[in-house]
Amino acid sequence: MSVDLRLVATRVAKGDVEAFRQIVDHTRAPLYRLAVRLIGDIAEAEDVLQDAYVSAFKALSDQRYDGRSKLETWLYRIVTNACLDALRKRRTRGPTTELKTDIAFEGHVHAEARVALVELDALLSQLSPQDRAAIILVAVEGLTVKAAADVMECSEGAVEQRLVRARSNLRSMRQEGKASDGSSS
Amino acid sequence: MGHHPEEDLARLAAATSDIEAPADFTDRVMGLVREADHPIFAQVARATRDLEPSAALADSVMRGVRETDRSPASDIKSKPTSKVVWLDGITRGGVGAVLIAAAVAAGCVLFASYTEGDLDAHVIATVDSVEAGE
Repeated sequence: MSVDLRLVATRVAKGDVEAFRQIVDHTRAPLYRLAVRLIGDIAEAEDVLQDAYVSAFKALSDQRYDGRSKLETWLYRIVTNACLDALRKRRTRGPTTELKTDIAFEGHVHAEARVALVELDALLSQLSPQDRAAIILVAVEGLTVKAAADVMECSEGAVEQRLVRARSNLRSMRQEGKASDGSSS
Repeated sequence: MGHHPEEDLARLAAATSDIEAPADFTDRVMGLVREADHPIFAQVARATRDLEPSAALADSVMRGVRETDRSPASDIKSKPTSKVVWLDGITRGGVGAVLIAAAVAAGCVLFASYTEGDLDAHVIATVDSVEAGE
């Protein structure tokens, strides 16, 4: 059964705190995947997603959701921004040496997913958070450039520029990797 | 005698003006771009396709939400929707805010009249000294 989340959002804005659970239940799966794919680390993505939901609740309570876009799209934007902030913090903090927090909410994460995420995170760590988000939204989430621009709140041209830059950087890294493999063998 | 080169070019332009890329051109280009992408993207998309959090995530989020709702900071709306924002603040503040606003207004009037009087005295003194100089 499909639920019009805009109506639920109106209830939250009027002070019905428990109605927010309905929003979380309907959106947690795609937003969890989005956060995990953008961050590349399941435990960190869970923390970021929780904070993003609390920010969304505050924004709804403050009547900052104007209802012009679908609630799902609006949440998608909030989670993407929260992930971008986390990636920026990670860049300024440098590679962390502390042990990562436990994964608390995973349903069934296959070993293949864990391995792929580690590889993805390592590959994209050289990109800027904005370039990384653009390539994930388009190449992994399957969004069109227009939809990615809407989520990232920038022009389509800016997304295309980020994609070109990200792909070019990844290509050079691949070539450097191949060259170093060739010279070591 | 041959035609002018400009005429030949104009004919060529007219003959090719209706040429368009096939309808699936963009899809084909995008397909090639995706194929050229690093294989990890497709691999991650496939491996995380069924990934979803347990219901415990919703419980944890709701705990955070209830804490936020109970905190005093959330009583104050960050963006007042009223267009008369200053009046909105006074209304929320009650009688105390009205008294403070009245005191501030009276202070402004006193300050304005005081500085006006000062200015008048200064201008008169300057005019007097100019006249005395003449």
